[in-house]
Amino acid sequence: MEHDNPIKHSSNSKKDRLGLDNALLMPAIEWVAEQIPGGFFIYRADDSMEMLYVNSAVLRIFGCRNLEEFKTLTGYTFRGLVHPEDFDTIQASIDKQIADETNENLDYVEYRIIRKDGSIRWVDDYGHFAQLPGYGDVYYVFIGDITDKHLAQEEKNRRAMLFAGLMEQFNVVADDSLASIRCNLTTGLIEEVRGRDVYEADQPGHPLEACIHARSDGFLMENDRKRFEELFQAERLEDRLYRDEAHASFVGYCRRQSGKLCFVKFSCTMAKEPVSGDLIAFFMETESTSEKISEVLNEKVLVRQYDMVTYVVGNHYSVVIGDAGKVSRGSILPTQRDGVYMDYIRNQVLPVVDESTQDRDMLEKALCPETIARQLETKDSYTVDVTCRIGGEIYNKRFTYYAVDRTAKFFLLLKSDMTDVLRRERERNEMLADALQEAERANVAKTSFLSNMSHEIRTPMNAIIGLNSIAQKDVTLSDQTRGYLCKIEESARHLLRIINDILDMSRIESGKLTLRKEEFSLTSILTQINTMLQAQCKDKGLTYQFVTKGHPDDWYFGDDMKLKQVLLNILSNSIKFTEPPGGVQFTVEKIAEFNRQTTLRFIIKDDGIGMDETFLPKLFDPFTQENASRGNKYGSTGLGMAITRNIVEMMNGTISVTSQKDVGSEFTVTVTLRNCDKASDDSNSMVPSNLKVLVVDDDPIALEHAAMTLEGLGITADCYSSGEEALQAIEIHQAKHDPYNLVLLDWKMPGMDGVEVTRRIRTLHEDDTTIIILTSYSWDDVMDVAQNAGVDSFMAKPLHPSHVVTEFERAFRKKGQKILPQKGRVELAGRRILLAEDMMINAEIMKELLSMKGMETEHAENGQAALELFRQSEEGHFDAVLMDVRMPVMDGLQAAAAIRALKREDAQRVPIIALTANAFDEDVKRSLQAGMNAHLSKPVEPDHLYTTLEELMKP
Amino acid sequence: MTIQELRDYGANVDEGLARCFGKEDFYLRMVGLLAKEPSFEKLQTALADGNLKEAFDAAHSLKGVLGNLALTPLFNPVNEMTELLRKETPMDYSSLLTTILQEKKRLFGN
Repeated sequence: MEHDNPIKHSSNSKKDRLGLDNALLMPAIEWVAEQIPGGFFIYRADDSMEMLYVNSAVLRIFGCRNLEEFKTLTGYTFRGLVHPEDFDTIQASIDKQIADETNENLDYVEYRIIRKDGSIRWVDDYGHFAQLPGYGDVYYVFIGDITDKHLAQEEKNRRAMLFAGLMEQFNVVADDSLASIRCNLTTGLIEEVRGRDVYEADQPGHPLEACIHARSDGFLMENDRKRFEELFQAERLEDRLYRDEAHASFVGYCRRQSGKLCFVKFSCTMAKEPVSGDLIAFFMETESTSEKISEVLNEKVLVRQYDMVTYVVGNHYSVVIGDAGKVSRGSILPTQRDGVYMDYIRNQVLPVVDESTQDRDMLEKALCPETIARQLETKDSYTVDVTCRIGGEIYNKRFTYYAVDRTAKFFLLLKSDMTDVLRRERERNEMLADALQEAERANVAKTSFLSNMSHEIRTPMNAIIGLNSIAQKDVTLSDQTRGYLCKIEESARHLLRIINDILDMSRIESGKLTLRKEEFSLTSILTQINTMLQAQCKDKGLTYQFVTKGHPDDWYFGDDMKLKQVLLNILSNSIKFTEPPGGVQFTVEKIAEFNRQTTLRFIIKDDGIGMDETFLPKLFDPFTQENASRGNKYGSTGLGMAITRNIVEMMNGTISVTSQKDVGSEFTVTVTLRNCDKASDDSNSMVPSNLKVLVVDDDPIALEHAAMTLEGLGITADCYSSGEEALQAIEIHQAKHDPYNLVLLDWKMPGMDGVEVTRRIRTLHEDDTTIIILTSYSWDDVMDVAQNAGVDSFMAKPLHPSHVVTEFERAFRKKGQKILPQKGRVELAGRRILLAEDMMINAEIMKELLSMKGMETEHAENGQAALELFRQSEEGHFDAVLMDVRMPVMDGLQAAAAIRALKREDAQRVPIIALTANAFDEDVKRSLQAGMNAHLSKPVEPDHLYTTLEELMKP
Repeated sequence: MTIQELRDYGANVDEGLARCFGKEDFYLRMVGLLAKEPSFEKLQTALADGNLKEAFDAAHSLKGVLGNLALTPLFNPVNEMTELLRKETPMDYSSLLTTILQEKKRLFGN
């Protein structure tokens, strides 16, 4: 290493000042100082602390190559040489030591310095205060690098402190501590033992091995024992410490020498005894059950929720949390904190179980440790609810088990009281039920309000429409008046449509709108729609185009009225919002058929005013119209589209729309319908003139209107104003074997209402008359009752001509399906008929008629003769009696009554059929009163006679 | 008597035949039986005696038969008389009776 000679340098630099008095002293010191192996320097003992001399060893200590570097580093003062943090402390120490007379001007300090490379070193400093001739007060100082020595001492101190800490900890016994053992691993002997649950082997002077062994025996798991012994072998522990692992711990479930079962944590901390250097192990044995459990608890539950927390191991339990004083009555807390688990279940739980709701044997099985273990093999928790009856009160307890250690069959049992929870739940349910009931009541009120309103509006509408149509019949009307009447009709019909819409909407909202699933003719409804729309378009000057694609079938299952309503709603809208010379196009397309289901698509396209795109999403909401003024101009309720969408959705169909302002709109409805085997429109289509219809209504205007509407369709109807009259008429027609096909009954009538009339008709007569209830009310609420009474269908009042035929046909079709199995008819051939007829010719014709079907006739010229013939015949000889009513000697009525009065079995049951030219109702009534079964009017229709006989005679 | 003669007379032959199952001979036989029918005389006598009740019985019986055979020109006046007699309408029945007898005569001759 090359550096300047500090002495020479120094001497040169100080020559002027040094040379004054004692020029030889300094070189002498310098020479000596260079011989010293350690560092040596001199500095002025004044405030400047100016360095006077440093030897080359000092330069080495500071890592400087020459004096210049040292001067730059330290400023060549003592202050600059010491670490700034240490200076004040050591200066004070130096001053104090020097001031002390006994120290003979000597001082010793240690401090840090900062080397040139920035590293920090510790130095010791032996200083001596002196008065140097020519220099005044100075310190000459010997310093040496003591860094290594210093660090070693620090480490030694740390270890000593650690050991002292461990000793201190050892001497303090913690609450959960079972035993503390200090063992000298170097000697292998126990030095000290403390604690409340020490083993016999835990004695000072005993080997550690014995302690470990004594404990390992208590572990329940074989595996635990092995691991424990291995871990705490003295040699193993030493190895650990050399690997700088001063700790080892083990947690296991064990049986203590007292017999108590618990989790125990056995941990060991090792340290060297600072003086002897012996390896000392401090063993701490603590019970960690609650620690272990709180782990699970924190994870799974809120302790507060449970009235008991217990652990269950094998068949043993121990209560962890559960204070009889704090928990509610009926908590079935174990009487002992520890015990046999099944004893607790059998002695305390099962006896209080409420047997009306739970089976004790089942419960015992559910609560036994085997079941718990099995359940918890895969599940995180296992819950058993127990209903207890304690002191006459019912308590709901919930036993929830968690697995703490599945292999050790160590489970946690949390018992909670659910009584309040369940009660609250019950109360909540009751509240909900109440609220529901309230809501239902409100809904019923709303429905009945709407229903009543609809009736209140419809009743005067009946009069308006009825009287209006009567008035229009007057041929003497002026054109102007006729025009007014037409406008009245239009407005009235419109008002009715609004009422119907509102009712429909309320039905949809209350879920009462139901769809029929009946066979219907698609062709038929399309024809009706086309007829109607062609006329409407023509009137307005629009073109109308109808297109079918994909060959839809003629018949399907579904609700034709609702489908028609949907299509008409959209089509009418299109017409409404299209101005001439525009047009409406209606396309029907079969787009798919699968599994006897057919998907039909209906496209309604117009080139009308269209709608703004922003309005489209709201189109199907109730009470929305693009702008209110439009609604007025075009006149609508704003419900049509909402109803349309709802119906389509109920049919599981879809409806969509695209539209462009001033270009037009296109609606697409897609529905899937079940196929129907019916091939084509067969005999089901109704011939109106063949119908025999009875109309009953207490309101004369409604009655007349109904009759007129029917007449307009070619249907002749008998009209009556009360149920009683209707029943008589029906009875008479039955007797004449000319029953009504159709009975239209007003629902609300004074005395006997429509439903009651129906019930009586069904009781008295065969089921083949179709009965339709006419009402201006909504019939949703009476539907079930009415149908049970035998009502086939409902129609809204006032009757609308365009609906009548479809409704009638539908009702007949439905009825036709119902009565498919025809009445049992009997064979006519070989039957013997007693004919009472005074007129030869009639008798001859009748005989011929009967013989045509292979029947034999015995003829009597009058009632008396007939009676005699019957009296003298063998029992069951005659199969039927045909009785002319007007006869000389004894008329038919008397004869029939006389026959019925005969005391023989067949006199009661032989069918007697009245024959008379008088088909007046009074006559029919009289013959029925006389005991006759039927009444045929002359001239007798052969087929009519045959069917009557077929139906009346015994098989 | 033939079917054509009956048709010319004004009888609804088709209806009458239908009631006799299309058997012409049976139909004609029945019409023939009517010629000897005592009810005509009974009606005459009863009316002469003023016994409206008995007259009604007779007219009523005739009405049934005539209806059966669809002899419309004879049926109509008989029917009219029957209804009048049913209500025992006090009136002069002679002209109506004359019509009936004339129609009978027209059908059967004397």
